[in-house]
Amino acid sequence: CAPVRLREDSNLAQAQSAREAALGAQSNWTLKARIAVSNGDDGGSGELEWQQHGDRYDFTVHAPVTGKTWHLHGDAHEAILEGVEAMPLVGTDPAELLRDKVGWIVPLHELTAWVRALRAPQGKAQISYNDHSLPAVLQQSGWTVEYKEYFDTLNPPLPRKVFAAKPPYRVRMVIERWSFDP
Amino acid sequence: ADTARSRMETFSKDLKSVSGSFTQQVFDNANHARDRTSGTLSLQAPRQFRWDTNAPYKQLIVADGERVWIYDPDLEQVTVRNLGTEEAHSPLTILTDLDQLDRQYTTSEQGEHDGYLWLRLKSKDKEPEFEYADLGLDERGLKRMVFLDKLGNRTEIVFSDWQRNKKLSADSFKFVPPKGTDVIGNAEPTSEVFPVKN
Repeated sequence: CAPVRLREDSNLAQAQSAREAALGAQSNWTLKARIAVSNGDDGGSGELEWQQHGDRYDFTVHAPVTGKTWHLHGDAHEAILEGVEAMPLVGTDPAELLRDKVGWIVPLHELTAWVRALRAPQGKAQISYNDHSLPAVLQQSGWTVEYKEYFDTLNPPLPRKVFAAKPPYRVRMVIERWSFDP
Repeated sequence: ADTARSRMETFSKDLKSVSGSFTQQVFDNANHARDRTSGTLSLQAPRQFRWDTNAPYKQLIVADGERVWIYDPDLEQVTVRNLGTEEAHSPLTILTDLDQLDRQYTTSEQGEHDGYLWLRLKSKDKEPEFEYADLGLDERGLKRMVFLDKLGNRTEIVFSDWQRNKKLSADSFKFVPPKGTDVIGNAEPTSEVFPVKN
C-alpha cells in the first residue's frame, strides 16, 4: 500500500490536530457498519448501528442467521444492555458489560475517538500517516488501530475500514455510512 | 383442505434441494426499516444451506452438514460454529427436512393476509432464538418468511425464483477459508457425525 510516513512531523501533527478540533466538536453522529470481534479463538460478527449524542451512546448489534439483536445504551454514568438475557442488564461501564455478558472485548470508550481516526482523550498516542496526511496506524493504550480505507468524500475524511488489535483481541469494522444530525 | 400447512407439505414433498433469491428487510421494534440485503440461497437435505448476501455488502453463510461458517470478506474474518448451535436453527432448514418441523416447532395456522396463507412456527427450544417464524405460502409454495426476535425486531424475507431439485455443485455447501482470513470459533468437526447423505 502507499508508503507510510513513520515519523510524526509537525505539519502532519498540525493537520491531525485541526481534524481533531473539527471532528471533536461534532458530538452527534451515527454510523452503520459491520463489526467482527474476536479474542483469537472465539467471537462473532454482526450489523452495527452506533449513535453518539455527546456522551450518550446507543450501540445495537444485529447478528446474522440467528437474527439475534442486542442493544447497549447509556451515558457516562450508566450502561444498559438489553437482548442478551430476559431482563435488561445494568452496569456503569459499557465495555465491562460487553465483556462479562457477551464475551466481547471492545474498548468502547477509546473506540468512540478511534473510529473517527482521532486520538482518545487519555494516554499518549503514536500516529503514522498515509500520504493524504490521514492516520494510517494509531497506537494507544496497547491497541494498534489500522485505517485501511477512508471516505474521502467526507470533509474532514472519516474512516471506512478500521481494524483494531491488542493481541489476542481484535475489533474490525467496515463502515457503510456516517451520518451527522444537527 | 387448502391450508398453509398443506401448501408447506406440498412444497417440501420430495424436495431434496432448492435454490432461489431473497431480499431481506429488518425492522426495529419501533418499526423503522433497518438494513435491507439481497442475494441467493440454496438448501439441500439434510442440514446443508448456503446464504449468499451480495448487496449492499458481501457475506456468505454456509452450513456444510456439520458446521456453520459465517464469512465476511470485507472484515477478512470467518466465524465457524458446530451445527448444533443456535446458528443452525434457522427455520429455513425445515424446507428440505420436513420431519424436523414437528420435532423442533409447534405449528399453527394464521389464516390469510397479503395474498398468502400463513403458518406460524414456535420453537420448542427452552431458550428459543426468536418469538416465532411465520411462513407465507401461495399455491406454488413458500414466498415469505417473517420472524420476530426477543426485542421485537422483525425480519421479513421475500423469496423468488425457486428452482427445485436442481443438481447443485459438490462445493456449494463446502467452505474453505481464503488465505489470510482469520478463522474464529471451533474449526474442528463435531465428534457426533451427522449423516450428510441419507
